[in-house]
Amino acid sequence: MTLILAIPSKGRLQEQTLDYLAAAGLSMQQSRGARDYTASLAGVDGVTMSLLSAAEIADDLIAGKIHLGITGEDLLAERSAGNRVHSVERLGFGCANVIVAVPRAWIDVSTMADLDDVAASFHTRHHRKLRVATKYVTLARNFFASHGIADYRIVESLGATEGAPASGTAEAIVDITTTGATLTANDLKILDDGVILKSQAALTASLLANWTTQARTAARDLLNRIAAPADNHFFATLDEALRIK
Amino acid sequence: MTYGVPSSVTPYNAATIAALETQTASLLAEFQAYGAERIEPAIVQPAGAFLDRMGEELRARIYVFAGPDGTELCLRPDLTIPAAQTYLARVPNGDRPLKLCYAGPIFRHDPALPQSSGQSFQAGVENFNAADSAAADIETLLLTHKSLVRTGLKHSEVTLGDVGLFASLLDALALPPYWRVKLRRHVWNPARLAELLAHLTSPAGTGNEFLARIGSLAPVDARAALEAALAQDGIKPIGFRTLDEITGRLLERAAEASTSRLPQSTAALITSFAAVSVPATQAIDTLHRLTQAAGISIDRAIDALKKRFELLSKSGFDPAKAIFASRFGRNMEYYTGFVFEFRPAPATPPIAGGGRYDNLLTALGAAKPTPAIGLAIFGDRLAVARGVAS
Repeated sequence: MTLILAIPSKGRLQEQTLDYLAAAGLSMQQSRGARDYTASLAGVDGVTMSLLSAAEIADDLIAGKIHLGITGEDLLAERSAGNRVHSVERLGFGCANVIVAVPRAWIDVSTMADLDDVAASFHTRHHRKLRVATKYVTLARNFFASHGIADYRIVESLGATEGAPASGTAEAIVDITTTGATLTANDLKILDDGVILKSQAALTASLLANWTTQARTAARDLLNRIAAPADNHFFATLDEALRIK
Repeated sequence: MTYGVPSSVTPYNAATIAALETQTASLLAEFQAYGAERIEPAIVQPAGAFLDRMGEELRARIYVFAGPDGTELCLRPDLTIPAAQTYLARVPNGDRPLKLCYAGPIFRHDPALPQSSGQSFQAGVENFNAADSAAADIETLLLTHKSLVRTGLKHSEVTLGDVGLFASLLDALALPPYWRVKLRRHVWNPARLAELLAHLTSPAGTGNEFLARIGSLAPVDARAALEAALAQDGIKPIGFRTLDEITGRLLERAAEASTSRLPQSTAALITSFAAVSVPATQAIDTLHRLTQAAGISIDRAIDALKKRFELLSKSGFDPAKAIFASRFGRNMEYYTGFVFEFRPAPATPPIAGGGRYDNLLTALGAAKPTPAIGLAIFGDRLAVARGVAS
């Protein structure tokens, strides 16, 4: 079985991933043209590349369907990937923060402690809980719990989360942002202590994949090329995971 | 190997199924002898009522999924809320008492045990609108004990608490409302309470420039100043939280910044009060001693607890066997008064618990305040404690 390396199938994240591989002298070979979702990697033997959405890469790493993948740390954290994956290398691109934001008009609110007060008084005053729109349900819930905030409801939002407060579907949001410009354009601001996660793209290994001798050899060759020096910690972690398995 | 997903294999073998069935029959017989009518709420329930009442943290532990029309549904994580809804449907004007009981599976994921089955057996009684709250509280505690004993449980440890006591203490301390609600919210977590008390006793921050400017204004002028400041910065007010609410909180913060800080002695009293954990026979004396030393009186609340202990003694149940803990509030849920838990041994997970929840029915839409108390017995743990399941 060859090593399966999944990379994003489109967009800026794919461009940056290909640049990163190119810097190590590696290039993706799509034999059937740009619409092919599998490819080989020129420069290392025994690697099959799989082009997937960033979210699918996170899912497949956790499920052990792929050996290695390049995807956002936010997607892995949201899935509580924990000890099912190992971060081989943080790649320094795709940087973005998962944050808590509230309307800028709330000039009395700048911290999570303020939000705790407002959540409680909002409930009393409006007879319903303060709503937080997000696609990061797990990250939001854990972060709010760590700040002792219980009096709120999560509203799942799968796109244009920043618009939720203005459209009246939520009072606050948990979302990912790079520059914060979209937040400001939507009259929102980030709380001072409202950064949940500083995320970037990372080369991540699944500890549950089928790590055949062939896959391990290919991984070692690949890591020797891109993650210099070879990540011995990775193989130690992998061996330990396989021993438990 | 899978993580976070329950095994597809049944959690029970044939012997355990038989033991659970016998145990359930014994519990239901006790509940029905007490006058409770059996109900069988649906296993699939709308998720909203549970998340609203029990908090968003519950979402991590329940199985939520979308119905065909997109409604958020869940496998029932609890039977108190469905029982309360049953009462509201049966007695819409809330003009008579009703006791309901149930037995069946509930579904909760335990993040600490990702491979556990996620389902367990629960049996319980909910007593709505009983005329005498103190009597109903003790009847419920005794019914729990008797039901456990009748299944063959040899030994149990009881912890008692009263969620209303801490609220009475804060009221008696004449604290600013803002501090009071905040302390009430965080008393259950020792670390957070300590943090909050440290904040309230240390010198007040001066607040920001805007706060200083509007702090001395009348609400209507403060609101105008807020509107002007937002307009000047080109900030659009969005959402349902009104400018009046924002102004109100700013003025509250300004007032807080100028009031004196929480005295160290008061902080120490709150800390000691929250830390009380004594045999129930000493609870009344301990609470009196603490409050008298601080020169305050919460005698009404303490007397209400005392009355319950007296009823307990009269019944032949020895309160010396029970521990009273003032922080014990089963805070994740909706309790408002007397609460209790039974454990097979100290520091083991509870096999039964219950408490008074006088505000739940109003929150679920009752036309008038409807007092209620309930008990729940955790069947799987009870069977293990009795040695009939592993």
